[in-house]
Amino acid sequence: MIKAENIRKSFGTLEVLKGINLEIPQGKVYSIVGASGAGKTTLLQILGTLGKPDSGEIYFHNKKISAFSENELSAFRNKEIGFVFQFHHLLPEFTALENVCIPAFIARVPKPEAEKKALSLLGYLGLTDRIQHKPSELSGGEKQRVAVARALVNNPSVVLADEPSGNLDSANRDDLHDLLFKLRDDFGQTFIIVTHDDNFAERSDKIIHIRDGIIV
Amino acid sequence: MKLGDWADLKVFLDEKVVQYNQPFFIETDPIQVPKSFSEKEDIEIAAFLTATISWGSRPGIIKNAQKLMALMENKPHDFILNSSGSEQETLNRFVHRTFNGNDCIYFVRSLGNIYKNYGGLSSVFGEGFQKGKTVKSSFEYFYTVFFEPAGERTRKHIADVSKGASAKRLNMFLRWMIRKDKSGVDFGLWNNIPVSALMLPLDVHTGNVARKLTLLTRKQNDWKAVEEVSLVLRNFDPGDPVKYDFALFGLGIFERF
Repeated sequence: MIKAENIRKSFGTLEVLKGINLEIPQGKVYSIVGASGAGKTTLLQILGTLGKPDSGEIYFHNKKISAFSENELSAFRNKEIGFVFQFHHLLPEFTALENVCIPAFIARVPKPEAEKKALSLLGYLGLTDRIQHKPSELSGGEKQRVAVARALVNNPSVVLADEPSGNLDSANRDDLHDLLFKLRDDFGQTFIIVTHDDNFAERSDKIIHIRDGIIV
Repeated sequence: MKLGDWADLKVFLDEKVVQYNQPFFIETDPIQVPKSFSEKEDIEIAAFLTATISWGSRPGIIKNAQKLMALMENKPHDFILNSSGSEQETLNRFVHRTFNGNDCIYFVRSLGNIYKNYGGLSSVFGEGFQKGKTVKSSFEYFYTVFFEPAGERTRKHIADVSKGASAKRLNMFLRWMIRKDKSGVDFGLWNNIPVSALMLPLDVHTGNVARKLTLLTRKQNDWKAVEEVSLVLRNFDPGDPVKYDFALFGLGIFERF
C-alpha cells in the first residue's frame, strides 16, 4: 500500500536518512523504533507527506506522491492519511464530537454523515458520554482517543502516529495500545507508529529499527 | 467559527493563497531585499536584518533595509565576518524607527559570533528546533546564542518567546528560509526545520483578518495567539500551515478585509 524507495534526507551537513526502502501492506501495525535523532520522526513525516525527501520516492497505492500538485497533495493528505501526535492538537474551543468532525467537514462530508461517523467512532473508543466535552475537560487518555477518532473519521488508508502514548501514564498507555490493535483486527486499519515503548513495538506486526539513518 | 464553515473557509483561503503567493507579491514586500542576493549566507543575513526592521510602512522598511545593505557594501556575509571596528562604526549612521546605529553594530557583532562559532543562522535555528522539536524551542535557543555578546539595549529587537512575544518577525524570517513552492516567493533555503512545524507570523493585519474569519479568538497578538491560530491553520493543511500567511496578509493589506 505504501512504498518508500531509497529515501534520503539531510539536515544541513547531517544525513538523517541514508536510503530507506520500505513497503507497508494494508491492515498491519508497523512500529518505527530507534535512538533519539535516528531519523524516526523524519521518516514518519516523509511517509505522511508532511516532509519531502531530498531524493527517493513515496508511492501510495502505486501513485507517485511527487507527481501531485500542492493542492492535490493537501486533499490527498486530508482524505488518505490520519495523524495522531504526542500532543493531541485538538482545538480547545470545540467539543470532542466537533473536533472529530472537522477533517470530515473539510473533506465536504455532509454534516449528518460526518456526525454519524464521528459518533460511531467515539462510541467504539468508549467516549460516548464525553462527546460534548471540550479538550480541557478530558483526561490525557481521553484526549488521545479523541485524536485517534479524528484521525479515523475520513476512513484513511493509514494512520501515522508519533509517540501517541508518550504523554500517558501506564494504564492509559496500555488502553490506547489495545485500541490500536483492536482497530487493526476489527477494521483492517493500517498504522505506522513511532514509539519508544518496547512492549508496544513487540506487539506490532513488524518493527522497523532505524540506526544511523538506515533500517537495520 | 461555525462548524459547517470549515470546507468553504478552506476553499476561500486556498484561493487567496494562490492569488497572493505570486511573484508580484515580492514587488511590494521586504522579501525583495534578500532576493537581490545570490549566495546562501548573503541571502539569509540580508533576510534576517530585513525581517528585524520589518515594522512600520513597507516602503520605509524596504528603503532602510536597502540602505543597510549598502552600508555593508552589499556584501553582508563578508561584512559580518571581516569588517574592522572602524568599518562597523559607519553603521552608526543607520536608523529605522527605534532600531539605531548601536543596535545595528550589535547585530553585526552578534551575527559575526554566530557565523564564526556556531556555523551560521541555519545551524542555530536548526539546533534550537531539535531541542524541543518546536519553533518555540528554536527561538528560545536563538535568543540565548544571539545575546551572548553583552548588550542590554538591543534585546528589545529580538523577540523573547519565553515571555510570550508573538515573534512575528522571526516567524516571517523562518517562513522565508524554510517554505518552498513553485511560486517562488519564499526561498526554501533551509531544510533543517520542517515546513509543517512553522508558525504564523502574526501581526496586526493577519491577526485582525484571522479574528474576522473566526480563526482566532484571543484578543492579544502574543505567542498564545500564534499557537491558537497556527493550530487552526494546521487543520486546513498540516503539511504547510503557514502558506495561509499569504491569504491573511493579502486580505488585510490589499483588500482591507
